[in-house]
Amino acid sequence: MAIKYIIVSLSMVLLLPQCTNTSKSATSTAKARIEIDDLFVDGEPEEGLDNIAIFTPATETTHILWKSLSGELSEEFNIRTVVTSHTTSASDIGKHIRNIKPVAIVLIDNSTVKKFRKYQAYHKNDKTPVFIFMASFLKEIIGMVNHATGIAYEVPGVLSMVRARNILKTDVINVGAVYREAFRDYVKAEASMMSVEKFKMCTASLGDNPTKFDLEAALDNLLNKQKVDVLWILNDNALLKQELVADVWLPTLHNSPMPTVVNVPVLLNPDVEFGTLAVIPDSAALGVQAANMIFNAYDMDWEIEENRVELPLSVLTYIDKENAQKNFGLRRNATDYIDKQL
Amino acid sequence: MIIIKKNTSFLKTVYRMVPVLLAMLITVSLNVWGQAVKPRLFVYVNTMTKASALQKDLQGALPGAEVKVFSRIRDFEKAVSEESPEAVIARKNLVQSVKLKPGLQGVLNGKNVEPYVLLSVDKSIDASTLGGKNVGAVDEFGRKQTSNFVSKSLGVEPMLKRTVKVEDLLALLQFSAADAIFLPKRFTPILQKSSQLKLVETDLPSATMPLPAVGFASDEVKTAISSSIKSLNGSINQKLGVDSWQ
Repeated sequence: MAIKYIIVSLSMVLLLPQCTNTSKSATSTAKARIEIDDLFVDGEPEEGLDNIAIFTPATETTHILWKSLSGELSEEFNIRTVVTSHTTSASDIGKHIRNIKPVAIVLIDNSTVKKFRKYQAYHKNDKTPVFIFMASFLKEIIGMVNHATGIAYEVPGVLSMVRARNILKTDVINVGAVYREAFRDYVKAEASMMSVEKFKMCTASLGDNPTKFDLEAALDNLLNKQKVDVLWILNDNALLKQELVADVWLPTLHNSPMPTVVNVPVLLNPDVEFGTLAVIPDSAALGVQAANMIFNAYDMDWEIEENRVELPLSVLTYIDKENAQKNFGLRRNATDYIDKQL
Repeated sequence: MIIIKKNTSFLKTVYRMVPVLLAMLITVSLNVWGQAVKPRLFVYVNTMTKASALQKDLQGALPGAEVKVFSRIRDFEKAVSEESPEAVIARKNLVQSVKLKPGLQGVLNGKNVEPYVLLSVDKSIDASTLGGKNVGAVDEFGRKQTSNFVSKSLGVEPMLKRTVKVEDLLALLQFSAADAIFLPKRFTPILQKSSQLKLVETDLPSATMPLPAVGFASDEVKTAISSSIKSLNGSINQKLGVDSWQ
């Protein structure tokens, strides 16, 4: 069993940086950059239509968003896409903006936001509205970009738990979460949103560098003292280090089976029985929500509520069906709510 | 004589080959026919069921068709335009807009149209107060048509928040990001069951939309699959938003 934990956790940790980093973007960290630049092809520009510039790195995930978003926007605008990479500089962004003359700018991914901030530092008079999507922890960084608004990328816990409640037969009322102090405000906000749906968030906080013993104690507190019904695993690399997954998370869940909801698909692996449900952003639907936000700004003569961050509305639900069925039971018609069964 | 003998032998050979050639011809014809009689059925309906789950259900019930279910109107319209399927299931007005002839009409509670309502939290809402306010609706007909339908139904022009799925509408209320959501009445009990919010319904007397219909490219296709569609079970029909087909 120990060998199995080590092998699986090794593979998880290798993949985790792509999906769970708290400071880097979820997509820019997809190191396996795919040669899909050719798929980001704009339609022929139409005379008389305004331009919207989209700056995006080329990954599978950004392509899904870009395709949906540009498809929606191209009804009213010429879309001019600039595929960015690690070699793209703030000066390159400036050249593209001067060339495209956009009425609105879309930034996809944290890496693009970072470059754009450098551009804006030298172009403070540029009042073009900026829309930011697929950037991690957007609420924390939106204030650093002028005239910007956007949609958060993290899946709100309440959406995850409503899915769990609709799918699993077991009670989903007391939601346990282990978090580091740095996440206190985030967890507080999530707890408040969960209360709207009558979920009670039960938490255990840890320091910045939690040890195995710290995590063991936190889980023991949640499972045995607070008697939570379900665990919500936050996307925090520090809590999902190889040794913590192998030596604490997996043995604990093996000894005390507990439904766990994760927000990255890599943590859902039927061979390991770690994640029960993965509730992840629906990138295509995000494109529609993003287009909606841009069209509404257009209708208001490009007046935007600066620094406002909308929450993502749409998610995809993946399930480790066999283990979920075996350990927790599934509601009738549960499969109607599931996008993918592993 | 020798020549005649040779010709006779040749004719005998040809004669012997006839059954083989016929068998080959029939096999080829059956294959071609087999492909021709398996029409592609594209589906776009407003449902709580995930597209993949609905596709699996429909494919199982309609083995004579190649079923593809779409979750976004844009994808459906693009696919219909580029691939010209032999049949579609969608609201009757959509079926007509993609130039297919509605051959079967879905019926729910004895009617071929369904009512839309507003859902809001804690108390009912006066539709006439929603001008400029945030109202959520599934993007069933594309941005402009959906917006027109909602405005016409409410009698005022709200700030429309389009979503792809019905379940996303609930998120708008959970986040207090909309004052109300606009949706087919049949979804009210489902959302009320899946949420702990006190969701209150407001009827909109003039808001109705045709129920799904089946459009066929030809009478042959209609003959091939209409009886299977009429025989769909109650659970699948419910997911399609109807209780029978006429």
